Amino acid sequence: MPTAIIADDEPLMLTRLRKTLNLAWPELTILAEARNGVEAIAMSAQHQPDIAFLDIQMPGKTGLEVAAELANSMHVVFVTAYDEFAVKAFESGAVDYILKPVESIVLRKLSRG
Amino acid sequence: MALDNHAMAKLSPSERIEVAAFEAWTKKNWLQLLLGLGALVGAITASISLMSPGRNLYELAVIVLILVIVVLFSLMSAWFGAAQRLEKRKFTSGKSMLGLIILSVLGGLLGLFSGLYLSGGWDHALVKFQRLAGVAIGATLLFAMIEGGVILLILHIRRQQVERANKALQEQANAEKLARQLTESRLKLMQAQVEPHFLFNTLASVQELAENGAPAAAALIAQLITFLRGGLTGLRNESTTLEREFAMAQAYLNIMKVRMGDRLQFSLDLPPEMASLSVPPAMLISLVENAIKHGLEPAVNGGQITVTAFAQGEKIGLRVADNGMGLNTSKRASEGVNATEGGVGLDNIRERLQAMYRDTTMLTVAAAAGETGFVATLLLPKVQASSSDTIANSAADEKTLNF
Repeated sequence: MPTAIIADDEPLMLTRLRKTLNLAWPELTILAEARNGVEAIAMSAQHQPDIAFLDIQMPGKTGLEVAAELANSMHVVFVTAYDEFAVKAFESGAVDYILKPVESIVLRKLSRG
Repeated sequence: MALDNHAMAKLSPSERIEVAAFEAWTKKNWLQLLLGLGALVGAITASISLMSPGRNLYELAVIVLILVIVVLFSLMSAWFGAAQRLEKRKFTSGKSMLGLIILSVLGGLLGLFSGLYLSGGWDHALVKFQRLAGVAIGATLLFAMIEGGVILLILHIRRQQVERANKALQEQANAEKLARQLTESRLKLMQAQVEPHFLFNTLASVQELAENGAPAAAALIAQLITFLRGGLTGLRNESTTLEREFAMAQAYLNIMKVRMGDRLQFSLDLPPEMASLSVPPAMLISLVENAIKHGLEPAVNGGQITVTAFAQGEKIGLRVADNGMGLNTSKRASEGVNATEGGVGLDNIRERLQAMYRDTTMLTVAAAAGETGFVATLLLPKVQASSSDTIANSAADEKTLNF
């Protein structure tokens, strides 16, 4: 069973991401929910998940800063509102990302790929 | 006028320069010389006629006519001389002036001698001499005075023209600057409203609430409508009312409250008697957005925003205070925020204040009491809203877009 943590500073976004993940990827177990970058790092260290879903704009540490610390120990997926530059950077760097508002279709593609 | 090559070859280098300079001068001043020559001929003829004994009425008429021609030629010569000198900006150059004076004096002297010769004797001529000398000196003085006067007159007119043109240009530049900055503010606000992070996160929140059937979804959409409408209609005017500015700020903060949850507390205070006061659009919302973006969003525990309107003498005070990241954190520094200016978000407000009131000190920023926090205070002149400000979206408002 794959495991994950999710991180977003907005509570509604966390709820939405959790629900959509449950729907699209029922086997995935969400171990913890972080509301800022510092929490995300602490929870990752504590739970050792397979995947970290990270919002980019977060207080404490941004998603990018968190990813830089975690990248070697787990798979990172960024969750972002559409931003041309960010998406281009992700695509060229072969980084996984999800666009906000999160749609289940996009997630299914991700879980199968 | 030009010397042939053979003659030029005999001259020394310095002489050649002198010849060249003289040729250049006559080339430039040919019209003046021609007119001077006309004046000279006129003076000679007049002098001869004055000297001849036994003049009749016909002769007198000719003399008067010739004198008139002399004065006219002098006037024209003076005008061209003055105009030419002004073009070259050589107001004190005596060269052409001297040439004309010499021509006039020569005219007088030639007239004198030819008159002496014609009148047949010194006895008779002595009396005439005084008269003739008077004419020559008078003509010369008159000529110099006219030229000087014309120069002064042209200078005065030119200066007035330049001053008027400068003033008009300055006013035009200022109006254009104002228009540009208002347009920039409009663009900035619209940009902020459709910025992906704001718009998509807000819509995602609406989506989440609506899916759960929460009544809060409809309320959030209503706030979003108020906020977007504030941006679209409020900015069509050069000024708006405090009431509308506060409604827009409240809508924005309500949206952010839904999204940030317990990380955001806020309060707004607009005294009812100040609601109809007129203020420039989108300044308050810029301050509030600044507080959210740089103060609370980067703060792990969020914080509180207080928006207050207050009267200070004849001024309208607007204060936006937060207890978020404060001034001196590395986070704010990395986003271009520093202690004296308060960040890039406030530059546009300062530019607009400079263009509208020539005073950027109306906006002050400071660290709030305690370790964290940020206070921005705006002091604006008190103006009661005109009728066009209170009618949003009217045809009159459309016009102000194109000023």
